[in-house]
Amino acid sequence: MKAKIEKSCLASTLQAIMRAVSNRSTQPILGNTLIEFEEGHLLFTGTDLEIGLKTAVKAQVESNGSVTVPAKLLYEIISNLPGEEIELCQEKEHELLVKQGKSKYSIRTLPASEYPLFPELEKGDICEIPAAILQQAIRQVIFASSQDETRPILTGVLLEVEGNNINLAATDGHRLALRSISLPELSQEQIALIIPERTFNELSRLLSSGEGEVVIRVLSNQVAFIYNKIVLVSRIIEGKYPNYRQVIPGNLPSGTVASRDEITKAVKGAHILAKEGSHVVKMSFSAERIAVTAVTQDVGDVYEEINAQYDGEDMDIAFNARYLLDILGNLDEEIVEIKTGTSLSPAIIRPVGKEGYTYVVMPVKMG
Amino acid sequence: MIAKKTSIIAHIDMNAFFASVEQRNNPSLRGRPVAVCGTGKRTIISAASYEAKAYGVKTGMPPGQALKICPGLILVTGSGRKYIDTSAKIMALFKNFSPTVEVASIDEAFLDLTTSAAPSFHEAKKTARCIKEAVLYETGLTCSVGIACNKLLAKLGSDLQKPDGLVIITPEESAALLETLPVGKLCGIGPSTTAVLRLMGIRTCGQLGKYPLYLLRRRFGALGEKLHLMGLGLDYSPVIPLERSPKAKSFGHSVTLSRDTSDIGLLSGYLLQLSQAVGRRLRADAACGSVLTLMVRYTDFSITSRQKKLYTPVSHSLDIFNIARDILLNLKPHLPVRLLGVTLSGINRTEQLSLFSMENKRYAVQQVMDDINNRYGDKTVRWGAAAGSTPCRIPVLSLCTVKQ
Repeated sequence: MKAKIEKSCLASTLQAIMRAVSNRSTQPILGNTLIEFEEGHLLFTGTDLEIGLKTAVKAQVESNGSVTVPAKLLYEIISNLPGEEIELCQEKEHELLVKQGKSKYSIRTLPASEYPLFPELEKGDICEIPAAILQQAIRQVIFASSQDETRPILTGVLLEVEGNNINLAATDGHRLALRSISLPELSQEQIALIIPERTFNELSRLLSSGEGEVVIRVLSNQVAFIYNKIVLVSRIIEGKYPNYRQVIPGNLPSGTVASRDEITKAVKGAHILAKEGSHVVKMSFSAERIAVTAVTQDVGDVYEEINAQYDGEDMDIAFNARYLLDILGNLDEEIVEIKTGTSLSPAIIRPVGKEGYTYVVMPVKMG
Repeated sequence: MIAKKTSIIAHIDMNAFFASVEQRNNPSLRGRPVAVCGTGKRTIISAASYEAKAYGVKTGMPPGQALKICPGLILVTGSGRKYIDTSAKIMALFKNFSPTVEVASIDEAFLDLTTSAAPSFHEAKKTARCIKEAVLYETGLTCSVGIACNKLLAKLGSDLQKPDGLVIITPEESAALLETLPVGKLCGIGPSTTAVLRLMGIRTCGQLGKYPLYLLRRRFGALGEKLHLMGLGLDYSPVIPLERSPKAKSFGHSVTLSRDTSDIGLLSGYLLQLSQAVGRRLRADAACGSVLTLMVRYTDFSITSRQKKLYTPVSHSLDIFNIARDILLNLKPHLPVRLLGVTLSGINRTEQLSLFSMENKRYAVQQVMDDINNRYGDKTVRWGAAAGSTPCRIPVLSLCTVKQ
């Protein structure tokens, strides 16, 4: 096998592939990338058995074949080469040559036949969704998933098709982030998959250019995201996601509308002291203001105030500041609405002027 | 800088407390070697009378070993209630002599005797005599008293003369005393620190005080500074009465297993008991913890501990159990385990409410269990491993007979 390839294309491909390979596995081949030399392009595959990534790169291929090499090693070698065109070829068995000018690297290979099989991408598309919208949706829900490995279902993000909507929901049991995206054409009416948080993290990286469409396809016990020439395949977390709809309060009596930027600054300020203790900040709502306070024993206390329209009875609610900053930092709209019930019942935070996003957060009971 | 007013602190240490209480209550034990211990197979001696100490019997020794070196040793099963009652009586008594009493443990306390702008050690000595007499009269027990200008030296003083001692270390005398005093005699410098100091060529407090501070800092970190002050006989910590004492910063329990084992099912059972004990104390203090530490001592006495930081603080016994068990499974004990300990730190006194009603029900059940146990006694109702299922993942509720 023999091919010539542009260095910049190869480097960016390997960077993406390296996120899927595993350098700490007991199986050395999982640290490798599978390179398939095919007419007009090279196919690169990486997997740690949790997720798999496959992508094609344009290349002048002189002879076909396939081989696996350590992904990180190959990346380091080509990053260090000065010129633009790189030659990859196999002259001896178990060795891949990386050549450019007078430089010549020989890397030991493992046979392609031992590499895990990449799943067949049979038909079963759920939808096609603009990359920018999917990336924003992922960013706005993913932080609410649980870090607690003893509750595996909550460590994932629910991807659900319901009518004309695709919903992404994540909860750690204390807050819930829900984003609904309306799409005109959905091939399936109802589907619910729990996708590992890491899969969405990696997908979000791949979508960073924000252009084009992502195809979501359900495989037998996996899910595939197809974007440009990249295919990301992931396992699905088995189990039943909790009924999140029942925790979204219907009619909350009190509400306030305020600048997201101002609330963020106030909560961040209060959190400077709150993070020395329990991370708890208290929000006091009254007619034309929201006061944000925090007290940390032996450290100090803080009072921040912002102007806000508030409709309801005066009320104090305590929240984990991180739960507030997570949402405030991931909204793009300038004005937010906070709806409250009582100081011990869930509150809702939504961007004003944009449908389809809901964040429910439970307060903290002060001791 | 204005010179700080000299403080006068007394440290009072009851002599062989548990054993002395037993000897006081049972005249046939007086004058004989007595050791107090528990009932289990692997119990250790928690206190030895002075007659037993003369044979070399020490706190922490297994009874079998103690009997070998002191064949006439009388082993008495300890009774916590008896000691707590006596201790409470003694601590109440101390209040008559100083408004500022810090209870250091069940059998020792610090008293701030700095009564006037110009306190005198002579006056303090008189007060100490009165305290000793009062304790003997009220409880029939003797104590050792150390008086100095700080807690460190007061504690050293009470240790220097036992039993029934009274030692005064004035600021003028302290330098000469410390010059030749082995570092291990100071409270807070244990065998492992002593060993490290010895390697550095430091044997006495005098040497410790003169050792370059930056080298101590480099070797011991923040503790280096404290060691430097200790070497100089300085201690700025105040006497803190119970009502002003800071709230607990960690909650932990440990248990020595009835026999060493690698059986994950059995170990899980112990973890469950520990998690219940820790959880109950946390909840009683309206606290939750965000750092869980699992400590394992193996059959060869080597110790491993692992910590896990939790994004959400926990107080529910089963949450504690699940995390502790996960740590244990990841640890893959390579030898049979002798002791297990579970500690929660990163203590937080707020409660993050839950979105899902299932969670709230879980907490409600836990609350009912706490209420029952508070009313009818410990372990009346507890989480128990499902019969025949090892290892248990989700424990089931087991009811013991409710005491009438």
